[in-house]
Amino acid sequence: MRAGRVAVLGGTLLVLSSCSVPPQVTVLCTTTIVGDVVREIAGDDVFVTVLLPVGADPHAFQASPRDAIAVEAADLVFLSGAGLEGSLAPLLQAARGRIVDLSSGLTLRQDEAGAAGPHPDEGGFDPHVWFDPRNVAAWSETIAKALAEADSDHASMYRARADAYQREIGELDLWIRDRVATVPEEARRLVTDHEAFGYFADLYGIEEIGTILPGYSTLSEPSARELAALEDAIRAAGVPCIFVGTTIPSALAEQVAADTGTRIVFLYTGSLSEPDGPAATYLDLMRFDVEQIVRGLTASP
Amino acid sequence: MSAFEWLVAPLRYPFMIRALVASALVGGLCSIVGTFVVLRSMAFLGDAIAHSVLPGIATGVLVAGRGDRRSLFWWALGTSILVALGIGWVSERGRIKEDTAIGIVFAGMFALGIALLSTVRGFAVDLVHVLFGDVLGVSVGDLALIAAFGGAVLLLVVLFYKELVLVSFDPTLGATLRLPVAVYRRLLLVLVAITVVVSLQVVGLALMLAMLVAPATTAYLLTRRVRSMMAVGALIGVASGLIGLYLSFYFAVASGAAIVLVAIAAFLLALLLTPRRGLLHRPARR
Amino acid sequence: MTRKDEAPVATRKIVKRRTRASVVHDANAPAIAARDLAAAYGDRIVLREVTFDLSAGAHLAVVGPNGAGKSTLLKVIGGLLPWVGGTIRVHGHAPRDHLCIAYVPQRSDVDWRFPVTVTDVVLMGLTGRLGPLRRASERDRRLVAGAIERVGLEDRAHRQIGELSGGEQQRMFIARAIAQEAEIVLMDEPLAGLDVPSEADVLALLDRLGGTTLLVALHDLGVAAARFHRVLLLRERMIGFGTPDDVFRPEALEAAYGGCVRMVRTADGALVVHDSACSREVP
Repeated sequence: MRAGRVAVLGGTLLVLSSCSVPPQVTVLCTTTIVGDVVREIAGDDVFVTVLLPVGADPHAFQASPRDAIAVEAADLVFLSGAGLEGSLAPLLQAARGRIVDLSSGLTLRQDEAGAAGPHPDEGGFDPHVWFDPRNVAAWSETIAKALAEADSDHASMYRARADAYQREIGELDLWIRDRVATVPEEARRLVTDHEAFGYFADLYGIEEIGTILPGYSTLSEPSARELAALEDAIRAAGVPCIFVGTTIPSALAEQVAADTGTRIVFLYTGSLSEPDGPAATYLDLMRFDVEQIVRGLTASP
Repeated sequence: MSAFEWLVAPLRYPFMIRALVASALVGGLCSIVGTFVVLRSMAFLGDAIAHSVLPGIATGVLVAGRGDRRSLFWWALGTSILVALGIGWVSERGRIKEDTAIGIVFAGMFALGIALLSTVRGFAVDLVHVLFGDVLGVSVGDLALIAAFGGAVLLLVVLFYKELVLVSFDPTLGATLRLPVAVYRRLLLVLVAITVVVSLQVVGLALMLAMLVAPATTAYLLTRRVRSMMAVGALIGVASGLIGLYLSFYFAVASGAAIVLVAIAAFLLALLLTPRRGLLHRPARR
Repeated sequence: MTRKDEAPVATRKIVKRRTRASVVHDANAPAIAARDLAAAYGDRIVLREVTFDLSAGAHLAVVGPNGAGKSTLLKVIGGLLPWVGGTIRVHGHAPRDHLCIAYVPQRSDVDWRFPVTVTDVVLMGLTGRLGPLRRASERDRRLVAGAIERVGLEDRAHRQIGELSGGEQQRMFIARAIAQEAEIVLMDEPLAGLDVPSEADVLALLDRLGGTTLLVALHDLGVAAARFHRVLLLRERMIGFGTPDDVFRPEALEAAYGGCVRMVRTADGALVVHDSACSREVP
């Protein structure tokens, strides 16, 4: 994000040029979702920049030299964690500041077969922890503590904002439960493009029928057999639609949908939308996705 | 599961039927055009044309976005024809050795493609599809394009068959008979270019060379005349496509790779089993 | 390189749609007429001062050391290479106007592993006449079979060309020239690498190509002197043209081969003697 990078540059210059003012902490976040949550807690008290642009697929992220500079310049780096940023590992070794893995300490889902895509760093864990709002509440705690350590002057502000955010997340959770309850139990089945909704499904009692791409990453390719099994499962379950993320091309999903007579419904999975879009913040993203899911599952096929 | 069930099970899925048709068409087409690639020692050239498609696709992605696959086809087609004619032109000039010239174009175009594609953050998925194919995602529209352009290539080969064979065997005779030898050479390059683009979705760039060369070479070991070489090659190509897809279905391996492995297996079989006569070793007498 | 003196194509008789015919021969002109002909590869002149007339049906041996320009001369006459100086007329027209010229390549230039049979290769000679989109008719196939018979290859007609012996390979190309109904046949080193009996076979065959104008590039001066009425001695420029006796004089041989070659006429024919101890520098 251009504005972010200019901010980093500007911040650095400010630090160099004005020695009487205490330097502001610079914070780097990897995904837009992490960035949003961090901003909620941090407010304007630190410089927050985000590595991935809007719409980029975090699984397929390829770092550039500019990203290396941004990492090196940050005082604090927040990762979504659980292996999502596996491709950034070499970059992070050069980080000057502290690296905070937001998902450490969380209970992670794991695939028995260990098939998590071609990235060995992912270690077979499902990284889409943010689809369980309680995890994001835990994130806010971690963030508040980390920010307080780096910038003790504003520790009370971070604390206050984290508390407020956790209340909002509590309301979100209740709202989601209400919405999901409107879906008849036999219709609570999800077919998605990749395994992104595991935490959501576990928490809210929805069954994951199958995915177009096998595994937790968008970089895997299904074999013919896996696709055939998926189509069988779709037909057997009678689901009305396939939920597809906006970050990857949907050609294969479209073919499957056409062959099984289902619709394609778009969700935001790994990235927020543009600021003027329907999922500009984490809370908006969850509301939008849940609304899409509920509408999709309750609509007549 | 009985043999019949085993054969029929994949056919219950429309995507498998489309994939099988596409693989058969592409297998046959690559072998037929591949006959000339093998006889004229154009393997490196064919590989270069295949890899040079990447910048065209990358430009298409940048211009039209990743969703629009139809336009990517046209971008790839335009690029590959231009590159084929360009490589032909460069190697005719003769200032640098032909394989060096081809190698430079090959590597340069591929690097350009990667560079362009890398400006699209998260291009890895698209790249995998371009390199290794995406046969399971073939739509009816894609099949129509494959059939139309593949058919056009086949038609041209049939129409100009004896001229193409002649200029491949003895371009001097072609010159003596006042045939437009250079035109036929360029026609062949264009046919290879179109074949490459049509076959992209089934095999992908990285494995394209194998489909162009392996079935035709297998046929070369088994036959004595160009006509039979082409026919046998086409059969082997079609069979590789179909068998490869069935293997992919039952053993959960990537389709493009499975097709190529079947073709290579056929080649190894032929290599081992044909008696060493005539075609395989240089005739000792002069 | 652009070609000079390109004559316009004379009347083209269109007999059938898509059939191309060779230009009408000028009855008053010699089969081949060269005046100060010169050819080049890039900037390098490789042939010059070639001047001779050859009447129809004559057999000419083109001789000279390696790199003398024998192949180049044949290719220019065949319309396969442009020339950069002088003129060359074949039956009164530019070489490229003719479809009746056959060029038999050096055997080392041929891909013998190409999957074609003898019949396939001889049939190729007809391709110019047939044009694209048309297939060989029954009459064409009989023409091809006849040509193969004439050179004595009937029992090898369906063999892949790599299975032929050296002499058979030459005969196949002669059959192709016959099928092409060529009136001028250019042969580049047809006897290279052949054993003596095969050589004799090929030469006997050439003798039987009576009415055909024949230009044969040869290494062997003895064969040239014994079997050809006309010889052309080259060493990047024409050194002599005429009967073997006229051309193979000591001075000429010295100019061409560097002075260590002598030709001796014996009762049986001509003998070419190479003086291996000769130490004269090559000029």
